[in-house]
Amino acid sequence: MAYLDLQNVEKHFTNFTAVQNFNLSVEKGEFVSFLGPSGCGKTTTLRMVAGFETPSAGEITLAGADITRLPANRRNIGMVFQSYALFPNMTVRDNIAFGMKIARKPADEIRRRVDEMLGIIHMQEFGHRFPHQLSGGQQQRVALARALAIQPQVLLLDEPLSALDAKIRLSLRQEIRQIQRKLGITTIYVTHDQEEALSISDRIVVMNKGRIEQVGTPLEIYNTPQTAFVASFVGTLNVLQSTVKDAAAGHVMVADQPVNVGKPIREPGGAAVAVAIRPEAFGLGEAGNGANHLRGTVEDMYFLGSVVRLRVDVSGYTISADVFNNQQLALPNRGEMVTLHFMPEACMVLPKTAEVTAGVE
Amino acid sequence: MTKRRGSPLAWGLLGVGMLYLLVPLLATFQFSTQIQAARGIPISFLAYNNVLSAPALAESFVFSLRTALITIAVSVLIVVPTAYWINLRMRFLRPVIEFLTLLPFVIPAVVLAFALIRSYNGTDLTNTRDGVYVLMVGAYVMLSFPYMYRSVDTGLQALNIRALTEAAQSLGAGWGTILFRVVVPNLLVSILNGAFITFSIVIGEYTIASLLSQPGFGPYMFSVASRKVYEPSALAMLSFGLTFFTILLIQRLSRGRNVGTAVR
Repeated sequence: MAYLDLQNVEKHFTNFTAVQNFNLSVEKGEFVSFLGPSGCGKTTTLRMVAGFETPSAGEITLAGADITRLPANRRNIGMVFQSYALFPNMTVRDNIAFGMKIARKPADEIRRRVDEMLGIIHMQEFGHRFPHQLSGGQQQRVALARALAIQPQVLLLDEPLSALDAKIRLSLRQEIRQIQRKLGITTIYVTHDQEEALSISDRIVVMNKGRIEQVGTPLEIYNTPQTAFVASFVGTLNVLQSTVKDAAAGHVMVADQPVNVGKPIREPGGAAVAVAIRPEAFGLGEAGNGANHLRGTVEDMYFLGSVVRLRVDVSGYTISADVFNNQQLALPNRGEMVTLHFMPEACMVLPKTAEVTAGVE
Repeated sequence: MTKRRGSPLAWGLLGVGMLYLLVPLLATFQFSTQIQAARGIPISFLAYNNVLSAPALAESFVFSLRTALITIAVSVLIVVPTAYWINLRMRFLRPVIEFLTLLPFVIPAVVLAFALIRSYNGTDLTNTRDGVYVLMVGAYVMLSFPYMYRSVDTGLQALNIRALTEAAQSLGAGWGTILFRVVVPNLLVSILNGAFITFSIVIGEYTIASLLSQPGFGPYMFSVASRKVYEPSALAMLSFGLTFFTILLIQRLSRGRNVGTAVR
């Protein structure tokens, strides 16, 4: 049995189902993200682990003990909120010490641990400030220290960076991961930001409409999405409507241009399918080794520093293609005809019925 | 707000308003100093001396003071957990409670007193001395309810009470700890606001105290007013000063604490 186990967990509210058939095993020290759009049930699931919601069905076990119905204040689980939720009437030190005071730890132990926590979040000189005297990023670091001070069995973070501005978000994200690695604490991190989830997690749980779509490492989630939803929600995706020409050989037609998807297609010849390709799978110009080619007109170019994003009109579809920047890079002009190449393995074939929402950025 | 000085018309209206308030006050004060005018002393504070030296004043004032403090304690104990729970778990009840808070404004004190007397007629609440006192405190708690509830409710709105509660819970706190170490300290200003308004209501309250034959400060002022000439004005000035002082205290305390309660 894993360290934290959720088995067949469900949560029904009076008029809708928030979470259903949720199964997940988290190993000790693992950093797992719940990723999905708002209303997908990720926060509800987290709140069931924290003890703020009771599952309608199923079981949650932590370190071998059934905690499904244990009150939140007896779970020893640290929680960090989007709104920081620091106690406004207490100083930074008192906030961090709160949990230990409740546990009736000796005063000198509390003092030592608060010092240690302040050191971990690099805020030694802020101990006597009140929350309203701190910036958002500082408040969230204090909230993290407060949650970690009680040496929780699991750390839960509910969109901890959503209220912060972009720069702080990036640095605090790295800090959270460093602290988590250093302390080896089992962590569940809820976010709707795929970049955040991809960069920080050991494993990602992609959720949609109360169900798990896919569980996997960031690499697996990004490179081999198993459902159309995961493919479209994680990363940018070009979706090309096409017609199956030869199902067994994996040949399709994108408008009037042939594409080889490299594997047999389940749909019969003549059926409509969607072929999805990541922007970074494209290269400029011709290539050998059985690569596919698509010809189109350059509509626009965006220089993003390390990459250049081309928008190319291919038979009426606008394709985003990311080309790595280097000293020798010769960029085409707007309106110029170009050839894009990509390997058959880069193609993901999705059934036509699949709802693909987040197509092109 | 712009730095405009305001039109002369606005200043004029303000002036008229201030005159309307201040003239009677000054007139009362002036009258209260006339007790020895007939003997050729134009300004005398003998009336104040008489008022303050009457033992009944201190007795009735202490009586009302004690009543006010008990009322505040009961009111806080009922209202704070109620308002907290409604904001946390039963937000759908807020309109109902808000309607209920209007009732003490709609129902006259006479009706309230008679309703209480009739409802509890023949029980210990009307037949014993302590019972009647309890009845009076009960009535005052009802009168204080709108002020206390609205003040506490506003304070709760300013806090992210749900996240604070859950943060405390995840750190191991039970309901008692949450209420007394997290909720109440952050609501101190609101509670004090409600408490001072309750205080100034109860101190001078006449109708209920008199209908229940209680020796309160209100009935005492009234009895003085019906027996003396200059002393009631002196008493009115003292009572006004006390109320004014209370309000000043509220403002002071809330200004001092505002910084500590600011929440983003």
